[in-house]
Amino acid sequence: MAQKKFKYTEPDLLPVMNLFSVLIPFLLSISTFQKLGIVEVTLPERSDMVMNEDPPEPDDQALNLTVAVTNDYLQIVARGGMMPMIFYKEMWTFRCKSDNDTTTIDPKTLGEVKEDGTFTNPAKCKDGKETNKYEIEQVHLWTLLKQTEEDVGVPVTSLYAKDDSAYVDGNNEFITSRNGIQVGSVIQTLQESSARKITAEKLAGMKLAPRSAYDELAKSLIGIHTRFIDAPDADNIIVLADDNAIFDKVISVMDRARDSGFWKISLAKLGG
Amino acid sequence: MARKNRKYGANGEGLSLTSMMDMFTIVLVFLIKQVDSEGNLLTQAENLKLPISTSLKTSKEIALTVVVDSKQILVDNEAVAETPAVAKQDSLMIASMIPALEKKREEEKKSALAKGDEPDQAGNVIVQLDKNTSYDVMYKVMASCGWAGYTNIAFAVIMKNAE
Repeated sequence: MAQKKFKYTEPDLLPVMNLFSVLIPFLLSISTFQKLGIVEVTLPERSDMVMNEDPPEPDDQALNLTVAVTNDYLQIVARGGMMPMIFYKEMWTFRCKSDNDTTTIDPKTLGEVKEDGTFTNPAKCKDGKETNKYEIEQVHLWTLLKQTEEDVGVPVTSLYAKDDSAYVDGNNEFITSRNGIQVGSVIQTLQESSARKITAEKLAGMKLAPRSAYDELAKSLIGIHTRFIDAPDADNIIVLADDNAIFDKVISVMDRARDSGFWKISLAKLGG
Repeated sequence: MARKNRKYGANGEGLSLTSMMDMFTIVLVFLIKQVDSEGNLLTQAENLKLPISTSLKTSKEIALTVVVDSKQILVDNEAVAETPAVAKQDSLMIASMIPALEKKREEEKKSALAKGDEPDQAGNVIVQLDKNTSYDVMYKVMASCGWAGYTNIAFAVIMKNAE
């Protein structure tokens, strides 16, 4: 029997390749590698926005927790009491597109913000490009220790992990020096059940950095949440912010509130 | 002579694409999975930087998108107001934004009725604000949304430590 001789040839893959080279750029263009999430808020509490006219009866047991965000301090106000103000110095970090370098500047040196986001006295990148309000990469709030309200205040530092979470000791107080911290000692961050043994790698990544007022706020809020867990509104918090507070700051305050256990967040306007 | 033989296709064979095909198939499967698992309920608008947040919530329902960047305010991709003008105004309500929002709300109510759902449910809106917008503008946008019946307000953020 004569058998037909089969000669192997590679399949023609060019059409498939064409298809792939169209599909891959398309899929790359529609996929985002940053995952988007949402932060839910309840409507601002203001008389002209609440539909039913009668305000609810004031509850003696209610905590009525409020965080005020002003230009100079954060303050927690609750039922009949006020916590001491957390004074801070605001610092803005800009990233220059030309050299990918970051600069951290005191916004007070930049002068007034103009309509389009430029400053009257802008800082400049190496290539001469001026900084713009809409190019702020990060807002830092450096805690200031003040004796009186008029005091200029001294910045305080505390120990931070490489990922910028603040270390605290067993009494939930910030750790202010490296003394006594070595490989094997157990310290924790502000998060719940975060006590860990320090590895050599973690020890190397530790840094003394200006203490963030957000962390100071989180510390107080955690204390309040554990103390008043039985209050009828133990999960509620109102964030009051100043008109020119930037959105990033408000979101950071909301994050700290939610991470401390207050997840029903309402917003209101300071002096509004 | 020997050199000539080394040239591709000298023996009638084409360029071997098999290994490249393997690679492309893997990349393609990865990308399809990525796009699929994300869903497209929320896509980031251009020209703005969203704030980074520790929130782990993602949007579950279809919601109206309001975008506020440094120049303008867009309701469902249509520009309705200029951000600097809004920052300057004293009134809490953004007058040019409300008709657009109310129109969307009416459409949503109609489609809810047609589907047999409760039409008076609170509207969902996701506001994408540039992270350097002032609180004043954000508050006015929220107030206007609330006025037009969108009382479930959420802000879009970039998840920190997203896995």
